[in-house]
Amino acid sequence: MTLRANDIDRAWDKIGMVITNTGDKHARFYEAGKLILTTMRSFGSRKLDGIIQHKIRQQMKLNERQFADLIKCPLKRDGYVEILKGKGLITD
Amino acid sequence: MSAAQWIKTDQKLSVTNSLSAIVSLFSQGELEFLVSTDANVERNFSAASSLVERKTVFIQDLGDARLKLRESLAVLIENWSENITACSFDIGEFAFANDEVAAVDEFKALVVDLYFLLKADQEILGPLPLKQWNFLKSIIEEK
Repeated sequence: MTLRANDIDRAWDKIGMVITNTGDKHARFYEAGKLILTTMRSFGSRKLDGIIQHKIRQQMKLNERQFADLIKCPLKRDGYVEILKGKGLITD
Repeated sequence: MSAAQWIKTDQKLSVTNSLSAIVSLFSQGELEFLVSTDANVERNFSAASSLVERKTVFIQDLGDARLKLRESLAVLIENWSENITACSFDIGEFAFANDEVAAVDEFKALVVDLYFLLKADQEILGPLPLKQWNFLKSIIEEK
């Protein structure tokens, strides 16, 4: 499946990733007042195929199934927070 | 992935629809991705790209008047079938473009952006960005 920048932006918006300006090069994910991770977002209008999807997924710390769920909608912010907690990236 | 074609960089080797060959390559460390055979996984999301060439370059300047590299930074350049990627495992950052120079330039811009982003949030960094910030601080100084 070919993704476009809009697909990623929509998915990020759903889980509450922060993009302050349209020209931002990174999207940021905060939880409980802490910066948990950043992902590159300077895609332009290019198609995001193959290896690019893989690298975005790696930066988001998601496996293939979780990334597919994120794009297709079942994965929401709460689920994403649980995934990151499970990986030790969100600590209480 | 129903028709993957993997190309080794040292000798051209194509593998098409051969699970045993993929398993063999994986065990030899030739494959970078774990190929899932779970039928429930949307295979369209797998990384079925062909790696044509891979090399490491060392950059000595980030191209930003505000920052200076204390030491050269290793950047892995990978020429995939549809894009050139530039990435650093130390920073966890990557960029892509249609050509190598543009990919490296974009990578540098991303590192500069990440530096100032993490600097601004340095009091509230979680474990992962804290590691990135500590590494960036160790190799970058402000002019």
